[in-house]
Amino acid sequence: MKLARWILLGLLAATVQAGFVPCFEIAGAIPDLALLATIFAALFAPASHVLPLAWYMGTLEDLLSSGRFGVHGAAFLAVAFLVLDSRKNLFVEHSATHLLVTGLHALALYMVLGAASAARHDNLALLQALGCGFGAALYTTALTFPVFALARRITGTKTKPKEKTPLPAQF
Amino acid sequence: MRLKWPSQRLLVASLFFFSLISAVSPAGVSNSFESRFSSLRLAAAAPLRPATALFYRAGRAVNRIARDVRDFFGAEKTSDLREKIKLLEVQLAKANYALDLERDKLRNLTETRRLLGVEKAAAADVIRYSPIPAAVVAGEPALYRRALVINRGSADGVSKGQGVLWRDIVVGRIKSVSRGESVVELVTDPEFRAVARVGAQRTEGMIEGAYDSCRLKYVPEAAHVDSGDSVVASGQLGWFPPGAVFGKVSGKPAANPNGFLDIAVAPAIDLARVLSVVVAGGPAAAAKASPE
Repeated sequence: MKLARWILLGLLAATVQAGFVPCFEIAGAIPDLALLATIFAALFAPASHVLPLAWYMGTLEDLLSSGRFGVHGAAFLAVAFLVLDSRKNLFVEHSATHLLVTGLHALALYMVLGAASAARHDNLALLQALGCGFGAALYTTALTFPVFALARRITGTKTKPKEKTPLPAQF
Repeated sequence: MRLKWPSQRLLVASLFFFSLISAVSPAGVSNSFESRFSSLRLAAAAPLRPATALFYRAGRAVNRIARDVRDFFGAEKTSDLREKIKLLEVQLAKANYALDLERDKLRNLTETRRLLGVEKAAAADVIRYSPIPAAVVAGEPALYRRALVINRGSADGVSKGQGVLWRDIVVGRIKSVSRGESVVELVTDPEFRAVARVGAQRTEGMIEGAYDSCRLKYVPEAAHVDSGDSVVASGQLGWFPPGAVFGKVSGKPAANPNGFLDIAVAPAIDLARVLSVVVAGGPAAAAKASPE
């Protein structure tokens, strides 16, 4: 039942990404809601579900995109692997962690994709591609809080209560 | 990482390599395979299309409301006027092109046979460019690509390569087709290529997408091209009706060391924001209409 909610999150992210998001392009940059959903899953989903979920979300985006099939599947899987690997060392409930993890991974992903796109298409300048990728990473990071809040509702992920530090015995 | 070896790790590794190999495999290995794969991809995404179409309409509506609110508060009173100017410029470009054609016809009046040939070609064009109206049901979700999805497919007579227009303006070309849907590669997509004409001399060149604009290449250095000149379809190969507008030359063209001009072209409209388009037929439709 819990897994169904994560699958629903992926479907919703992909359909909104293909239908709604392209209408809100700013200077060639669009945010990637499926990437946000993947990072959310990598931070909060059960560890055994994270990587298949990331691949599923990336593949859904590949299906709805006109580019090469598999780009997002492989990229999201790599991002989820990195986040999952560092998850145990992160304070995943903190808002700054969400911003930092999203920003860093979005930036790294778009720089790689931008460089690859510029190398493949001689009429897409490298600086233009990287600039556009930087814009998209910023745009995606700016949407972290609302998207994570919505994703929490959809998946039923609860915020962990702060652990009370027991007072020393003499008090 | 708490993945159980070997089943889960094997599954994840297989998924990763499957995606990676699909992503980096060379394009154009087999046209028939690519065409079938694109159709399969479109068919697999078809169940999600009603939802994407709904979101697309909602996105457009929110955009419009936002623009109206801006206009109401006077932040952007000139936006509608700018749009009207763009449309009038397109009409002017079209009229200029028609005028040029008429001049050519007058010059060649004495060559009766040639004139008859032109008229026959014009009659054939009516069949070739029988339009198929379509609605846009989704945009391009990925960065670095420019595309739209329309709700007409092979069942409606759409085939790969056909031109897609909005009024007299070229929006793009059909990239892949399934039974009920097609992907339109926009003129700004980095993989878009077409033959175009520019300026009063109607010098031919190749127009290419450059993500947020277009570039016209292989126009000889000696050609007279100025900023603001209209760039129109040549009609060669038959994918786009001759005279359909791609956009206008933006900035001063500069000569490159190969003896050609580097010409930046601004699209005539915001291509990613159209709601309905027309598939303009093309050689496939012409072949169906006249099998000889």
